[in-house]
Amino acid sequence: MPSLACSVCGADVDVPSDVMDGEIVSCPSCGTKYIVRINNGQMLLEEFKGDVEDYGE
Amino acid sequence: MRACVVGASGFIGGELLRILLRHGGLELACATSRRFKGEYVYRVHPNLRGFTNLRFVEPSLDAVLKNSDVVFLALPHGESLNWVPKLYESGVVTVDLTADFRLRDPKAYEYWYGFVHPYPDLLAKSVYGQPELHREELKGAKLIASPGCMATAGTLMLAPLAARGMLGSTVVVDAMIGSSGAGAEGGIVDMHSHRTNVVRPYRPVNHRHIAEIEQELARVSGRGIRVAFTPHAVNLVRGIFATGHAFIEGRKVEERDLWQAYRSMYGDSPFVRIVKDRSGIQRYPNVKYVIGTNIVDLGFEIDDRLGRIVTFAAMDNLVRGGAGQAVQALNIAVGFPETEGLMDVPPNPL
Repeated sequence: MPSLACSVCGADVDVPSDVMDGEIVSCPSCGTKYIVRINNGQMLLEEFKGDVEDYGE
Repeated sequence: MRACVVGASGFIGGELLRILLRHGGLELACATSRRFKGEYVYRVHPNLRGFTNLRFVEPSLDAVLKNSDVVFLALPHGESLNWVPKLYESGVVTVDLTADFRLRDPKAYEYWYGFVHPYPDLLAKSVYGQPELHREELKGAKLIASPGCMATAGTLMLAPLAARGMLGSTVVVDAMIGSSGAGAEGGIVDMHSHRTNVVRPYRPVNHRHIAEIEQELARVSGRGIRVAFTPHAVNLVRGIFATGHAFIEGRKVEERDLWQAYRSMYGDSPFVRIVKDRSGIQRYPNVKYVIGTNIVDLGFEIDDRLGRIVTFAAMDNLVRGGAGQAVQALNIAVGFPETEGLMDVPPNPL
């Protein structure tokens, strides 16, 4: 399973080997969510900004 | 190895019994209580009914030495001074949960506790029982001075910053603690009608355990750091939550720097979890998810506007801040797996 570094905390973010362009993955350590972008076989993580839920008060 | 708990009728004494009863390397051989001698321990600690038929015995040095390879002292502060010299001389491994042997500098006892320490030679021989920061020193230790919940929370959440020069000359720490932190004896303010729904400070300045946090931060950072510490009593039975405020004016700190600081210090520590999550229910540490366990959850946030790092620590004051940490340190000292008897998964919901 390939992994890419989380840009926020530096942890490895595992990406499923059959991942498709546009899939959402999250960092196991800090929870930052990413959109997987695949261009010409190159895989990149783009931070997903759409999730704003906050369970705090 | 046979273990004895001296002062086993208090809350931390009871938690020691609970942990030792399922420890794979230690046999619970005796539990002392002057007040309850002869009584079954489950009459004082009802959660232990069905798990042991042990009875409390008189706290006599001879009886304890006869039955022990390891002794835990869960006594009021000051009383271990009567036990430790003789236990140390006998060669048994002693884990002292009082403050009597925690401070390296004998003069600090005059300032913080108001007495001249009678055994400065033993202070030099004791190892501060904070496993994450003293793991190597603990190996083979014969006298372990096990810290309490406030010093543990304050020290563990700030040490990674201290080690990387991210603390100024003064750091502010607030802590909230449940009623069990006041012990099992109780005074008028511990009556249900006074304690329920309480949110109030106590000893808001010059709390004695500041000395330990400052001692440990100085050790990690190599310089003096003052701790402005204020504890608060809150409406919990168990648990302590601490918040630290470190001002870093003139210096830019990125979130990744903090992750590295905490990971490099605690990456190999089985009971430390770093909680700073952008997903899910728990975004920062919460006492709710550590109660009953030896886990300490640490977290942080950066306040760019004020040039401030905010740190958090959540743990069970009686386990991580008392009995569990003492057993963890003992495990390291005598060569048991560090996690022996302590690997509990926190219940949820609680």
